[in-house]
Parts: sequence; C-alpha cells; structure tokens
Amino acid sequence: MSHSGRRVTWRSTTLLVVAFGAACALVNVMPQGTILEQPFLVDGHVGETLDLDYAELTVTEVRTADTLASSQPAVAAGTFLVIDATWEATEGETYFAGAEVVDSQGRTHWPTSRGGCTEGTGSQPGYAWRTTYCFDVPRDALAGATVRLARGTHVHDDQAGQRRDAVAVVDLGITRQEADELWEATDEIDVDAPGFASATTNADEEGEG
Amino acid sequence: MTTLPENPVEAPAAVGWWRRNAVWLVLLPVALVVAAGASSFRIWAFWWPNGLHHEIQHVGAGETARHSEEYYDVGFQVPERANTWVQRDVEVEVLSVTRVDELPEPDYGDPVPVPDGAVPYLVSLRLAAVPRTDLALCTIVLLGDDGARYGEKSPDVLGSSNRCLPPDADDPLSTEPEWSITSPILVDEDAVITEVRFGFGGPGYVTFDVP
Repeated sequence: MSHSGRRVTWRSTTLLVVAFGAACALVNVMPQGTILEQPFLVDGHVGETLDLDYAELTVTEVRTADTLASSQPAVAAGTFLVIDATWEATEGETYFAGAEVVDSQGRTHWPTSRGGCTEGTGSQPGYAWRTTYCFDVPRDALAGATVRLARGTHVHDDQAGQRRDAVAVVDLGITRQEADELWEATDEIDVDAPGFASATTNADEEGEG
Repeated sequence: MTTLPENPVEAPAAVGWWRRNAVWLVLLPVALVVAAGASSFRIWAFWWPNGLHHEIQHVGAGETARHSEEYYDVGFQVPERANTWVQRDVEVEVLSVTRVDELPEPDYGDPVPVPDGAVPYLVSLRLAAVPRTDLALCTIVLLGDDGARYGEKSPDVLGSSNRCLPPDADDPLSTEPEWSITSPILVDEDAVITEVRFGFGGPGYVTFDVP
C-alpha cells in the first residue's frame, strides 16, 4: 500500500514539475509584454486615411513653429512639431487619449497643451473632428519621426491601454535635409481650436448661389 | 483430515483516477469561474456602469417604454438624496425621428453648421416622471444600420447638457409630470436609422424601433 502510494506521489510530482516547466517555457516563448499584449499597428503616411476599426484617422499636415500664438503665447525649448489630424469615430463616442512622437533614436515625446494644442480629443460617428497636436522636440528628433495615435494611452512602454488594440503609426515624412530647414524656420503658428473638419455654412451656400 | 481453504479475500475493485479525483474535478470549473470573476472586477466596476449595456425594454414604433433603474445619487441637485440609491422611473415615447437640412438655432452662441458628410436628425420624445426626477446624463442615441451609435455625447451638438428637459430648464430636475423635448443628432448621410435608445449614461436603456 505504502509502496503504491509512493509511486503515485512520484508520478504526480513529476507531472507537476513538467507542467511548471512547460508553463515557464510558454511564458518565455510568448512573453506577454512583447507578443500577447502587443497592439495592432496600422502604418501610414501624412494625408492617408487609416482604418483603426474604432475610428478613421487622417494626419493632414505637419508643420513646425518656434512660437504658438494664443492668449498666452508658448515658446518652444526646441521647436514645436505641429501635427494636424482628423478623427472620425465609427462605433460610438470615443476619446482618443494616446498621442506621442517617436523619433529615429526611439525616444518618445509627449504632446503639450500649451498654445491651444490638444493632448487628447473625442469624436463621434457621423463627422470628422479636426484637432492639432504639438510636441516640443529637439533638433535631432525631427528627421524620421513618427507620430503614434490611438484611443488608448501608451505609458512607459507597458502598452497600458493599447493592449491588442489598433494603433496608428504615421511616418511624418521628414528627411534629414527637411529637418534642417524646419529647424531654421522661425514661424509662429496660431493653432485653430478643435472643430468640424469641414462644414458648409448657410453663408457659404448663399455666396455660391 | 482435510482442511478447507479459507474463502479467498476479494481484492478491492480498482478505482480509476477520474473516480478518485471526482470531487476535485467537480470543483475545478467552479475554481476557474471564481478566479475569472475575481480578476475581472474592472468589467463591473468600470465598464458596466459607463455606457448603455443593459436593455431594460424594447418596444415597437409608437409604443411607450418605461425606463426604471436605480442610480447612486451624490446629492448635487437634491442634498437630501446624497449618497443614497434612488429609484428613477421615466416613461418615454418617441414622437418622431425626422431628417432635416439644418440644425436648429442654439439657445446661445452662433449657429452651428452641418459638417460635410453628415445630416441632422431631430428626435422628439414625450417624457413623464414624478417632479424633481433627476435627468442628468440623459442619453438619446440613434442606432444606424452600420452599427454606429450616433449622438451618445453629452452635451449635444448644440451644447445642451440637459437633453431631456425643455431648453429653459435651470437644472436637470423635472418640474412637470409630463413634457416633450426635441434633441438634434448628427448622423452619417449614408446611414439608415433603425432604433432609438434612451438611457442615463448606463448601464440600463430602453430601445424603440423606428418605422
């Protein structure tokens, strides 16, 4: 009896060890942070409309400015990378909280709310909503920079709210030569308040008539 | 002298692994359900209360629905209700869902243009509730055949926060036992409206078919 019991114990122990080993191997082969929780990246370029399932996104224009004009003008420590975009939610009211610029060295730059710029915006189905993101970046961040926009936030590389969700990665199309030109420019930009991407007013229609 | 052999002792029937672990096998799915429930608190704590997730009633076109639900009152409007669960009963009837060319004049501010690609709808409702019913977070949604939920946002496109009260209401509390309202909603110009949903931010809502 005891002999039989010992045999069962050894077999169970072996099974447990094998199960733990297999589980550890599985976690190492498919680590959550790098595979299982990865967002679905949708790559694009300026002017292209990207389908993120929950919204359609278009980065319409990329500019730089040393100063953002507003009631409280904002002066950049480096230069402001000003990115105009339109969002149109496709499921229901959606807030787009994720916005960051990643430069060619892998550094992340967060948006500023200075000068009337937005750090996050909401949108509803039915119409496109225009907004402007501004990032205060150093000179060497311009060439090859991409902007990463999504409804979920992406905090400190743990994916946070972007787990297994669509994320737009838009190449800003800035070459090294263009980066130098953009850096030298001393433009001042008056950022438009968020609003309808395009709308026809009665006055427009009467003018056309 | 012949000795009869003792009756042979019958060996106990072999008990299989499944039989020996029957109790644990029964408890295993229970444990899995408990573990899943314990690790999914975000669903009921954050997702469930925010948004229209529970259909209380679904009625046909022209019929009246009753939105009955408890909500936790923090006492902003009625201090004596602060930090209590309050039963809210509102009778709702959809009078019309009309596609129009322009948005109505807002109560304050400049006229709001219709964005390209969208068309405005006016949703007229008859509401009935006991006076001093709190109608904050009232949500009127048009469901399109594309699956999109139009008009979820509050304030609405004209900036009105009290969507379910007359425009001259001072606060979200009802004053009359019965009243009517009209709420503007922008919809994709290609969408066909199939349903109207009415609620108070979530989770309960009532649904009306659109003829």
